[in-house]
Amino acid sequence: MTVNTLHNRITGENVDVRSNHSEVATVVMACLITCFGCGNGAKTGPSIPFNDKAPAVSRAHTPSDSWNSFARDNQNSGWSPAGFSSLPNKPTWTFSPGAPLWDYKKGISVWSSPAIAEIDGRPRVFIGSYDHHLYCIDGLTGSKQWSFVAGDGIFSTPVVGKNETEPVVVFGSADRTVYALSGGSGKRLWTYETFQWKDTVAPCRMSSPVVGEIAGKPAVLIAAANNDRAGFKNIQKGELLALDLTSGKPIWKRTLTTTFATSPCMGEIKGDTHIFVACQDGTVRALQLDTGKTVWKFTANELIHSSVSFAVIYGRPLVFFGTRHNSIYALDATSGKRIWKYKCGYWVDSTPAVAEIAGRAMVFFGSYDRGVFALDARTGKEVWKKSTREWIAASPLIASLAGKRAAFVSSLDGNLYAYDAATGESLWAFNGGPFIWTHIQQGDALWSSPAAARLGGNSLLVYPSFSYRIHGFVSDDD
Amino acid sequence: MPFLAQTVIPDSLGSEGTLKIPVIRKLLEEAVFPVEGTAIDLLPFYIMFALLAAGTIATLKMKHRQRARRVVQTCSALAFVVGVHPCMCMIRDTVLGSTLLAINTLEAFKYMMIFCVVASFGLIYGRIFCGWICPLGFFQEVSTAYFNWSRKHRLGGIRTVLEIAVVVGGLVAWGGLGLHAVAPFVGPVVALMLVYLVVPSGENSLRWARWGLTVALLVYIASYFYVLRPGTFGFIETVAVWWVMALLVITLFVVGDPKLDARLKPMKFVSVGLMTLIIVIGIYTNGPFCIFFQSVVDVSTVLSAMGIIVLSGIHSNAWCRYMCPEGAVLGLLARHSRWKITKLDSHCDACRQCEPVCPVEAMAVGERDESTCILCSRCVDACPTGALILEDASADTRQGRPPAFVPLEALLKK
Repeated sequence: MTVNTLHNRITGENVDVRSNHSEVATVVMACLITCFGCGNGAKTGPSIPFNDKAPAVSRAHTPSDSWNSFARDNQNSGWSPAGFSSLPNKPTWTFSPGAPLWDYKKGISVWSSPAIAEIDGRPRVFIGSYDHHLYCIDGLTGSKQWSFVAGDGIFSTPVVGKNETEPVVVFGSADRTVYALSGGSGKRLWTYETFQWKDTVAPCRMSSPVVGEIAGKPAVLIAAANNDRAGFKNIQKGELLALDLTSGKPIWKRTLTTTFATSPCMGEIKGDTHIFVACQDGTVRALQLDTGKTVWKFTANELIHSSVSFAVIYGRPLVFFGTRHNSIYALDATSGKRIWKYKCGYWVDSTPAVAEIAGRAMVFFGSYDRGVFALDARTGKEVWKKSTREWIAASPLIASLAGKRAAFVSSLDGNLYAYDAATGESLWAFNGGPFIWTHIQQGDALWSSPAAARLGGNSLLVYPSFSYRIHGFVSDDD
Repeated sequence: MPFLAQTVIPDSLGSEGTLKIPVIRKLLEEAVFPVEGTAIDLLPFYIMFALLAAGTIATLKMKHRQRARRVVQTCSALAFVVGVHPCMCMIRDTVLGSTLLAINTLEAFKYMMIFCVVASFGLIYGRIFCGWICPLGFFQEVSTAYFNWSRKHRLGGIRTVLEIAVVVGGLVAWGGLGLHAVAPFVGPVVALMLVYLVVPSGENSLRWARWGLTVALLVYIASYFYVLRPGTFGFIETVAVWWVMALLVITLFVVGDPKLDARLKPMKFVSVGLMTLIIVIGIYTNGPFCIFFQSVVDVSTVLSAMGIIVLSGIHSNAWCRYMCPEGAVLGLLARHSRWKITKLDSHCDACRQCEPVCPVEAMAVGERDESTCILCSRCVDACPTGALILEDASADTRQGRPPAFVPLEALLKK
């Protein structure tokens, strides 16, 4: 009997695991776990059961002039209404800022993920880069509208929200500052410094923001990890900040970890909106949106570099995330209890995308084992898996291609792949050109995901490639 | 600059299509002793400490050491291969961990805690981890025992032919993986070995030539890694395969001429130097043990682990002798360890019974190569006169005072 079979038999993995610990742990080390156990568990009311009559996936509404998180909606679901009858091998437009400026160093990536929103009636693409610039590009022609220079690289995906008068683009930079710019003109509206500069501070690891409403006012939430490397008074803290979108004033701050937190997402449970955020130290928390108080905390058994996504599956709110224990988890969003866990070949840094495909709720993610996976969101059972030629450290995008729902995945082999979301059949692939760097360090950064939107009569797919170019595919039909 | 790394990636390591990667699970996949409510689990640390302590007590106090050793090794293999999932690429983890100190201390702690306990025991008892705990060492010993048994019972006559066929076949198989990126690497490795083989040690003038050549070749290999980054886009870096290729070449030489064994043993220091260099460059190295500890299943890890285990059947514990970077570091510590196996000259009658029992050929007429010895204590058990003892080798005993501890059986034999 292999270890796999033994483990499966003992733990009933992928079936419906009700306990947070494997049964073997309970049997072998029952006393120890009782004394020192992970502390994963419910602190809230009873979980909501699955309801077969409810829709497979209920999603948040995102207006066309907003882009609420790096994966479009504020649930980080990666779902897009965009549709393409076919995709050509040549992009409609290609944007490049010029020759690459600097060599690779630890922790950087070429682009952040793009955000697409309708500003003044035109589709605009916003994207940050390692070259310290935030670019605003016209979505139909690929021409640069304006750019903004920050003090360091921008790896945090810009989000587009609205204050009382105009669209606001918010992003964080490794220079420890959160910036808010006017979506139309690129003029700076406000900045918020998350950590005071000293000659010993390290570049800040900033998550992508998420836009929501706190007490009826537009707000933005962003995680910032700052580090003062001084020997004495050494500071290592990962904070979650809730900022007022209009003024940039902090509403609340919560220090979550000594490492860093990944991009938060929002979800509604029993009428209350919650924040879900994962930290590198392996913890996932649900917080109250208004106060930042912890509702529950789950501890995985390995480091987490993936962000959390939220979805209501058959009426039951769930959160999904990947870990460096080569696995993806689904937790009950009400109680923080594990529903299922799926193990693949290597790290999962990709944020799981959730969508309804042919009446079935499915989760899509990529892994460092080069694979793209599609699982049943309710049970964690594998539906299909495909291999690309290299690691996948970006999150999938779900849009329509040739009348089918397709999973678009950017692999570090330089290609953007599209797979039929229902069957895994390969539909399309596009090579974005050679990497601008001779090497990268494994697992040191998240890499840009593609984005798609339907604005007016057009659908737009934006693929930031590792060749320091952005490729746009525009389609006016479906 | 073109993306050179992509041009040297062998197709066999990454192909488009259906994904066929087996997944290995461990029995305990949740943190049992989380540090401050995080995912960092102290259980592997506790298990390692307990096993090392058990090994130490058994070495010093027990009469049936080999039986105890088999029990500890089996427990270790069960705990680490089947039970928990620690990351134990100790060299890589220590280098990575030290770069994270004062930046991400929690992650640094995760990387360094196991090595700290192994190195602490190493300072006191030498390579006790290698002989008593390391699952890769255990599987090599099992492989050696199996091959010896099969030779005795079935394959006696065709032994040499079979061994050479396995080694040459292994080389061809590794080449056949399409690792054309490896070609520029094999040259320097062979050249480096020739330097050690051809230029004898001991003579002053030649020693400098030997060192000079070594440094030049190391610089060449390091710059090859730095410029081409051949491992950058392997599933996880393909470094382990290359190390095992070098081990295959070494084994081929040693099978041909067993006298070369002693001369090639310092290769493990070259191995650790090179490994440290490429880790500092920023290459995320893998090791053949990744499959046992972290359940990593990729071409490089699986092939290298299999290669090492099979090679041990031909030449016992070949990896531990010539290439293991962790063993090399512990070997350096062992030279200054407090407790050592020493020879009582008054008792030794040079019967040489300690030599054939040593799995790593560290004994020569009762004198022990400290950096190679894995402290299995087979020599102590085999010595008919009780001339080999485990003793506290600190300063006061060297000044002619009686040793602080003499094993019971040695005293009885007196």
